[in-house]
Amino acid sequence: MDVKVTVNGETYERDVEPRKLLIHFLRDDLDLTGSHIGCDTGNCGACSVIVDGVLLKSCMMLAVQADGAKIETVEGLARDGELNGLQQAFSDHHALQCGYCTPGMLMSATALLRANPRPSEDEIRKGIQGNLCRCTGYVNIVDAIKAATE
Amino acid sequence: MTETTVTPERPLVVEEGETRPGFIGQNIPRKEDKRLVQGEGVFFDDIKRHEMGFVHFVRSPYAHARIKAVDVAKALELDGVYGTLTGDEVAILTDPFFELSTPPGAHIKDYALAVGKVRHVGDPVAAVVARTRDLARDAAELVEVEYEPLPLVLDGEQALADEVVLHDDAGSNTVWSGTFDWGDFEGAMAEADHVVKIERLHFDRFSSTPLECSGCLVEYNRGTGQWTIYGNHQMPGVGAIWMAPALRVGIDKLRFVSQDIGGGFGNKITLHPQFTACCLLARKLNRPVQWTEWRTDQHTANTHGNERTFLDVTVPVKADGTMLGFSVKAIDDCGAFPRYEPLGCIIWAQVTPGCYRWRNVRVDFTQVCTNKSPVAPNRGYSRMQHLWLTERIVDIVASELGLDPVEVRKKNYVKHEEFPYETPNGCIYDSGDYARCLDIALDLIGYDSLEERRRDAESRGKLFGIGIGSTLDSGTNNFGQSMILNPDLQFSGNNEGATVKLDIFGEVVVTLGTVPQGQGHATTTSQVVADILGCTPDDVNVRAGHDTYWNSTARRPTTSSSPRGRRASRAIPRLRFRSWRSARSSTRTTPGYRKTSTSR
Ligand code: FES
Ligand code: FES
Repeated sequence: MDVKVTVNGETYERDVEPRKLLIHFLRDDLDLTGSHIGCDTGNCGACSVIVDGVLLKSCMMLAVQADGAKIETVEGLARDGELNGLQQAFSDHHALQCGYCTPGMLMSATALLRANPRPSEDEIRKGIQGNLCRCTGYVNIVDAIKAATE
Repeated sequence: MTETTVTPERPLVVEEGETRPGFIGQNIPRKEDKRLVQGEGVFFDDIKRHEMGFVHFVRSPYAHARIKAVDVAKALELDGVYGTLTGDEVAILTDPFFELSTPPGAHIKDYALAVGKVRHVGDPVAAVVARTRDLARDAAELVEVEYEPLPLVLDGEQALADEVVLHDDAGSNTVWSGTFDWGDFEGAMAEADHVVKIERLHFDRFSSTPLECSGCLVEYNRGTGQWTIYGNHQMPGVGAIWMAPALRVGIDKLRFVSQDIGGGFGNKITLHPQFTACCLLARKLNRPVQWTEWRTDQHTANTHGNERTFLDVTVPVKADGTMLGFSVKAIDDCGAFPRYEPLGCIIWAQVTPGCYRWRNVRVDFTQVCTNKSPVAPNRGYSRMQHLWLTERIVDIVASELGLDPVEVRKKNYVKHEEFPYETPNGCIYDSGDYARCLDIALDLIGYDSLEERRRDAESRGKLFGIGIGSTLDSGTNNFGQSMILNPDLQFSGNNEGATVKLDIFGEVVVTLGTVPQGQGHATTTSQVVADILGCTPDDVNVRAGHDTYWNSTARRPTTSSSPRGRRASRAIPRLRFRSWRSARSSTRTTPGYRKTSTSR
């Protein structure tokens, strides 16, 4: 089936199998490998992207369902190689180790901060509750998101 | 370069009488972060090759069964399926992986796919390669396997009875056994005012579960007979010495490449069976093949952490709570195949007394196989199970003698003034102040008010538990220890190579043999190298990841920090001889010199 999407401002058109997951479409067909896959049950959040303004786990959506959508992924956060405030805060607060969960964390935090620019710690924790990190733990990640609001 | 400009505050002693600012020990921004927060990491699953096929393993639904027949015909009929591999083919094309243990474990036959029998749920029986991941999965469902279920053994103690034996070639479920006896346990018993006995303790199976599943992309070069494996094996050096003889080739025929790895924790140390199957498929089908483990498969059949049962723990104690030693019978359950695990039979001995001064320790250790997925050296590996035992002993002794568990710990800890301390088995603990550490920890958690919080919880119908664990761990490993296990084992584990060179603009380029999985090796290495060469970490580009072409082989992460720095620092003197500073100043004045934009 024909799928046309805009990802980080760029338009892509591809013929895809109807059963292909959006995450596989992004990674395998568009070579946007920043979004990761950590599970096959929708639990880990490593694949989180923003579709038409809504935070989604891209392993829980078919590529064909995204036809016509505007998608934002981690690759679109920095501008001309300059990290945005949230990305910089992740580095400053040691909020990543292996970096595998980081793209998903950043997208969840991005969606959170758009909806709620000054979240409390509780709200931050709720905002990333769909994202698992196995290396860093959550304290530094929460600190980084908090710092990005300041 | 754009990263890391920090001013060193702490002076570094370079030569006697000479000091200069140092970067080691300073908190500098990580070199890795800039690309990782932009989604520019390169994990194995990000790498693609033209016309590559996707691998899916057909796995056993039984924990123990004889394989009567495997029929791949229907799978092969499916359009887009490139080929298959079965256990029968593997038995012809490869030799069993070598075993670390002496007999009986030495006689175990372990292959890339199950041969003749399955021994745990998820044991791979066949592999299918197809044009897409989904198609490979569909095709795997069409592989017909006829099983004859066999009785199971799921428990370490039960395994010792050998009523059901997993590996007929070994003739026993026992992999390895040995007695460790230090000090004078009988003497300690005679000296004791009390003897505390604990019938049974059990440390459960667990998994550290990295967020990235295991996998690889394998290419075969027909002209040279070499395989290139882009994968997340976290100890490719050991992987290669398992795989090469099994594939009947020299180690040089296997090139392991990795850049970023999404966590390892030991779960990715024994990937050689799956990687070997992928090598066979890449050669057989003459196309690159890619295997990404599904999370469900990871939970079911990838490696977990060892389970250990402690029986008949006997602890001679003085009336004042001084513990004189302990004896125990430990049964370690390594699951269906021991693979790396016989090393766990001895690695715990690096921390034989834990944090305590007891001098008389006797451990009767046996490792057995059971019908569960194999284990691997998961985080804290082998020491953790043992240290958990020592902490349980302390709490049970305190409870039986009516003493305060904090006081019993403090009384028995190695004392600050006793460092460096030689343990009963000759290990040296270099420094520490355990009693003070405990005080600080208790203070931080508000230990004095915990009883109150416990009562408060009780009044609300809740339970509030308080537990103390004090452990230490060996910062690096000496794999020479493996010869305690098997005197014939040619296995040092210390076989990485670091190179340091000067590049065209005067930047220093370092390659490491380590296989980082989030530890920040590029950053810490740049600090070490900067201090030795008298430049800044900005001037040091550390090539991320591992490549056996440059760095030989590799080792494990929890232990890599100090040897890594040492290896890089050993590589430096020759370069220093050529004077980094003069090279740098000459490039600075060279017309056309410009700063490179990144220090990857
Ligand atoms: S890959 Fe885990 S939630 Fe999508
Ligand atoms: S940094 Fe490794 S999973 Fe979060």
